[in-house]
Amino acid sequence: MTDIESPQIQALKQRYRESLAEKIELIEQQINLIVAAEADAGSLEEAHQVLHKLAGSSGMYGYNDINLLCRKVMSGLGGSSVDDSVNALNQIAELLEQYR
Amino acid sequence: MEERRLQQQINEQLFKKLQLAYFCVDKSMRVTCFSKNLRNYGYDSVLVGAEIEEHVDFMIGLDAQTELDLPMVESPSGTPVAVSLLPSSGELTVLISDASGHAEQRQLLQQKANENELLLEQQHKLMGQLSLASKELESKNQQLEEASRLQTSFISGVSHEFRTPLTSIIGYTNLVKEDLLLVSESEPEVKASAQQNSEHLRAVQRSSKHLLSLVENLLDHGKLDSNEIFIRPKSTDLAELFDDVALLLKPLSDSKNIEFKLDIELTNSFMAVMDDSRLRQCLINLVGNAIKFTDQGSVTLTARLADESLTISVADTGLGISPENLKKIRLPFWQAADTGKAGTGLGLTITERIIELMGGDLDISSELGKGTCVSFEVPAPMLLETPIGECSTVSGSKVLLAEDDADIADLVAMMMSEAGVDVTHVENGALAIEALRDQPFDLVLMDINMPVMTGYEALEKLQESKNKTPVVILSASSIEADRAKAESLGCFDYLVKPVDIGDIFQIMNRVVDQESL
Repeated sequence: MTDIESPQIQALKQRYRESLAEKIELIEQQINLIVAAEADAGSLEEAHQVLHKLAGSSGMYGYNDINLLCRKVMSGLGGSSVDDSVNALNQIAELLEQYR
Repeated sequence: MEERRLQQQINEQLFKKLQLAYFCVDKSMRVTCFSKNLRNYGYDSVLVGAEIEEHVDFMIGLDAQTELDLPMVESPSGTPVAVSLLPSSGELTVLISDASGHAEQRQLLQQKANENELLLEQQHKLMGQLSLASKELESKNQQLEEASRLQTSFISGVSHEFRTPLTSIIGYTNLVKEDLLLVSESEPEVKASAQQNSEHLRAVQRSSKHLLSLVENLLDHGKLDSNEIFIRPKSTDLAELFDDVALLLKPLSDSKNIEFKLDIELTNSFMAVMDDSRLRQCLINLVGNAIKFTDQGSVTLTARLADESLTISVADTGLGISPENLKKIRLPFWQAADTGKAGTGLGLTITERIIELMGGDLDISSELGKGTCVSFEVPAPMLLETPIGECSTVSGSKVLLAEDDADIADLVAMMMSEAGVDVTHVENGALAIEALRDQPFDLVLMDINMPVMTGYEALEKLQESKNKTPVVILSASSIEADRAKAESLGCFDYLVKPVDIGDIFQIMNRVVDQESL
């Protein structure tokens, strides 16, 4: 396998990097939703879906730390309080911020 | 007349020699002559001119023309006799011979026949009992299997239920521990309290981790019992794998002041086709055990890769195992009582079974007080890497990609296109079913979590429509139950995101290999 990436792949990676801002916004929306709904099952499930998607795509683009953190947060999200969930999601948003 | 008398005398002498008695009757069944020895058989009343039916019972109803052999007749003297009726020129000669010897023989034969019949009867009876016992055993076996299945299923279910909250406990104690670290800048009193709490949390974590490892071992043991653990070979970087194991276990050996030595010799091509996660599990278990039971000295992990075979040994300078314990050490749940080392007693059993599944045998040698060496050899076929662009089986293939995340779909599609694969992208399971109805594909790459129709539902639809296109699941979930569900719905393979594009190409090669069989 070749290590040299084609310009098309490089462009896709650049596009993903640029989309991190949107992903941060999406996570902030989830934080607001969890706070508003007091971390009910629905809001946590939606956050789980967002993290599931982020875990998949971030790993594919080589952001292994984002992938791992998403998985870690996902596994603990089920029985957590509003503060715990918000803190965990903030951690992810902060990590994403580092790569912007 | 003289001639007849003479003939009668000759017959009499001949019959006497042959120990035969006789009498002759005419057409009207009256006696014309008889031998003297006829009396020996009790036929005393037979006289010339007498009606034979009145004197000899076996002649009742017979005529002078009938030729007949009566092999066994009881004579008036009680001696069994054989009778032959020989008709000639209107007269009937009746020969009588002693059949007592013959009768004994017959009796013996009859006895034997009776005994045989009895034996046969007994044999039938025994076979019936055997068949009944066999059925009972079969039924008991089924009951035991069912009980074992229920037990395994119960253990697996309970373990699964335990795992989620335990993971949460470990995760959140970590978070709290991190929070407590921030307190380090605070006032001395608060700091001291935080330190104490931190110690308590470490104890909670230690216990939780121990519980989690017990639960995970129970889950694995249950799966091995019900044959639910599969070996999934894939391209494995062995050098990286050994580095990982060393990185993971070095802190443990450091904490006990034990030297952890790595002695790895791999060939130039260290990419082998093996189940990396199961091999890693075995190594962590064996090296972890060695460190656990060694209080001073060293633990050495040796690996040699040659002739597509990987030989591994883990040697320690620890407590060693007595010959008696060496026999018991492979039993599930067995733990040495005298070592004072806590554990689940399942690690070695699981490791041994996994090594067997990988095609190897675990060998353990040990000397009490000197140390233990555990070794095994497993097949490690080399990966023949083909540059993507030159991969003839991949180039020109038609692949359907069902993925709702545009980021992932575009990246996978682009990488595959660059290798000459013709990729069609759809955004959910329903569209994938439609596309498969419209045209043939060599392979389907399918996400699970999609809107409108999930990957599971699409797999079900494909099974119903008997579509045989191989489907490879690309999922962000590494949960074994999700994999098992996809496999039960007939997926060809299951890859966890992030997916290595090389793994997809390897699977495509496997598909081509299987189709060409």
